[in-house]
Amino acid sequence: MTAALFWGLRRFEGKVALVTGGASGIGWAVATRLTAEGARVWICDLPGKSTAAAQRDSKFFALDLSVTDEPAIRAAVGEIVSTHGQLDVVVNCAGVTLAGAAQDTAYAEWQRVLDVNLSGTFLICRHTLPLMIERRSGAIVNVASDAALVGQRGQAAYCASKGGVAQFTRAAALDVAPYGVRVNAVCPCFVDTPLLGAWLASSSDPEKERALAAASQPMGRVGQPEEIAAAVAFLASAEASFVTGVVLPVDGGSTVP
Amino acid sequence: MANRMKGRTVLVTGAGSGIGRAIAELLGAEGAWVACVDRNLSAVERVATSLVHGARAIQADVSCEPEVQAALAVVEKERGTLDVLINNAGIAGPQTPVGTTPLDQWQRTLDVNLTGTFLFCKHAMPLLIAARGNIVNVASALALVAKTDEAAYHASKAGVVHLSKSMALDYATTVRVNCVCPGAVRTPMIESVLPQGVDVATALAEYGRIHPLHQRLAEPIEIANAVLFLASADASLITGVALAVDAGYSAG
Repeated sequence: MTAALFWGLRRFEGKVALVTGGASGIGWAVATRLTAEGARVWICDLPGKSTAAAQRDSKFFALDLSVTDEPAIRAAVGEIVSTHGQLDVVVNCAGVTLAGAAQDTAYAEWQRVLDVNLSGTFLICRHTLPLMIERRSGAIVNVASDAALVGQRGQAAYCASKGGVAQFTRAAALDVAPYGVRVNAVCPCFVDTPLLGAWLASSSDPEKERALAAASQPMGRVGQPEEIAAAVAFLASAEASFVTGVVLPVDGGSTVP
Repeated sequence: MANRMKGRTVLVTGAGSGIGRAIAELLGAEGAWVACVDRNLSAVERVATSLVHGARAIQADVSCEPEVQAALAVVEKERGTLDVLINNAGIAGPQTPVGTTPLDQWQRTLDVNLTGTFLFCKHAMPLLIAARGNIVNVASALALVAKTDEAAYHASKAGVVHLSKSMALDYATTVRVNCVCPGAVRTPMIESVLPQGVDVATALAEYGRIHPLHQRLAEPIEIANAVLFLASADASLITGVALAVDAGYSAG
């Protein structure tokens, strides 16, 4: 999908957005969509990745940031605010996957997944919500997962972390509702990202695995990052003015059965 | 305004007032030709004549199968296709618990809200499959959480959500099916359920405080915006969802 296909929408004219995990996959698609609709977008990603992303496309601002590093988050938010005086949209895309059954998952692995996916989301919200509350406006969209809605075999820590993101989203939405600030989440299914590519590449027959992944979805296909970005853009926009505390599946129906 | 519905043929039930009218107007402004269906012909004619990309006012009771079939026949004859079906027609039903709900009022609530949705989906499905189109059903936040003294309405709207999920799976590779679940919206229907003799403006302001965000009633356009998103290509990966548009009412 290209900018020409966004119907010329400019829902983020004059807005400033922060996208964690923005250098690739869903985060990159979100950053691209928000920029196409007029936002000034800060891509935050691990050292090296964000700068490489900014070099690919000079319209992005880039910041090296681990979402588990609270002092670095404080500094990053400070830099955005000193540059623009505002922050209107935050999209928490940074995440890690981990394969492992409940009975096999090492504590250190569990901790790592919870740190990035759940605590990382919390920390970014913790340090950006006060700005939004002060200005009585703003929207956060967290990228959870279909694993937040249904149990998945061999994904115990990942399911727990994403389920946590879903519940944190609802609770935070209620906390900041009196100040006109909205918090929502999307729950993607299998999406055609570098992460999925790497996972497929690690199997003995990647093409067969890809076909199986597609066939496991009611729609018979995996999702594209741009499709997740389109839903994020709706939730982040003023068109979703009455939508908060929502955990929206963007999963081709995979969590319906 | 963009042109997210350019060239699309859309049918909206209950288009004569409230949320349905806002949906017809928004999708029309985004480029759609809109079949505006309502029991009240003069109301829906006023809506249809205001739409700039073409529209047709059609009188029908959604719970009456021959009238549903006749409405769709008009669309098929004039347009030869249907891309988007919006089942919005609904009634509030009796404001009573089960013990004092008359059977005929229970039946009428189910007939309009649930069976009416079923009938339009059933008879529109061939056109929607051919067009690889989609359906958006207007359910309610009260399909997700309950409150007192509205049992028939709750049951009918919960039925709409689950009907939508079943259809989403049955037609997963051809027709997307989703719901919006509005909170309390400033419409003629909500005024109709206020107790007798109260000051309407005060009562509506009080009613709006059920919403954690904004502490006011939704405007119909805020629901229409969510319907437009689900009906548009931006929701190409979304099927079988019940999207709450209720300012956090069902989140807590």
